[in-house]
Amino acid sequence: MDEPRKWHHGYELTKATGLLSGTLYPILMRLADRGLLEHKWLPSGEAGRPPRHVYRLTASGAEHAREQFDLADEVGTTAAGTVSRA
Amino acid sequence: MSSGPLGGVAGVLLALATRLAPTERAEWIEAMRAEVAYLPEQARLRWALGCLVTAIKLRVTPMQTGSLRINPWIMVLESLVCFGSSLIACWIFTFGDLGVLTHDFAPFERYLDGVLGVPDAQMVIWMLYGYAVCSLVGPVGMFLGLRYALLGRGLRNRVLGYGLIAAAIAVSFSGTLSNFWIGKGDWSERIPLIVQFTILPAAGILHLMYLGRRAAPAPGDARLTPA
Repeated sequence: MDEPRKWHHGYELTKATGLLSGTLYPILMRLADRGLLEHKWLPSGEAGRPPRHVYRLTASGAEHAREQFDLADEVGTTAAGTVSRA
Repeated sequence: MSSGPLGGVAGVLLALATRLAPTERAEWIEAMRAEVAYLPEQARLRWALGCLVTAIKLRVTPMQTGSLRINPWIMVLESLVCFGSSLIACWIFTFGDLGVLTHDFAPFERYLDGVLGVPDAQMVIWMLYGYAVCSLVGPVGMFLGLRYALLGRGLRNRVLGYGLIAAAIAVSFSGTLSNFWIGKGDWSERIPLIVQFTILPAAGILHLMYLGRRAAPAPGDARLTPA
């Protein structure tokens, strides 16, 4: 979310999220199906290597992600308040 | 891809994933395969395993959520289950023991009339002709099923589809009717035959008709042209 409009490749995303490829890619597909993620093939700069599939959030995807983060913060704050009052 | 044994295993896993994945998701599996070329050696096997898991998920998830699009080779099995019995029945009623093209029905008619006392034996004979025609759902359905398996083409002709379903229904209807006619009217005995000769073939035809519909492209799945 630091750079939501930057293109990222799959391996980079698995490292950033800690998800395995078998978990990450179905999520990417669902996000793309819902119009929250865009993807394209980026030609390799090195000879003999295939084009690479890269991903980034769409504008609505970034907006949705921000809403989810805000919601998570809100829930976290409420939960922390409840715990401290108890 | 590495030429070592682990690289070989990863290659096999990736090839298997490509085979398993549904066509409409082929781009994503291709993306996972392409990514392998950029991974460190030690990460490749795990990545390939993830690719296989993804392909299996893609294959299994539509089944859970009700999409009836299936792998062609499953259609071979489905065709055998749905149309196998009708195919055999068609052979029997056309060329076999009750074959309308090979059998002399005169003694059979005398047996029905004289021994069993069936009111209209001629009608029963005509029903056998009806069976022979209606059980064509077996060979036609099998042909359509195998065509889907080989060419990926479902049944687009609605008239043919509904005609075959009507034929499958007619098989059970006339069979049940003739059974009552002969005097062995017991519904419970007919149920397995109704499943075998009507419900399964009709379900198979409906599935082939579903597969013949033009699939809408998945939203957001359009491949963007490389820059």
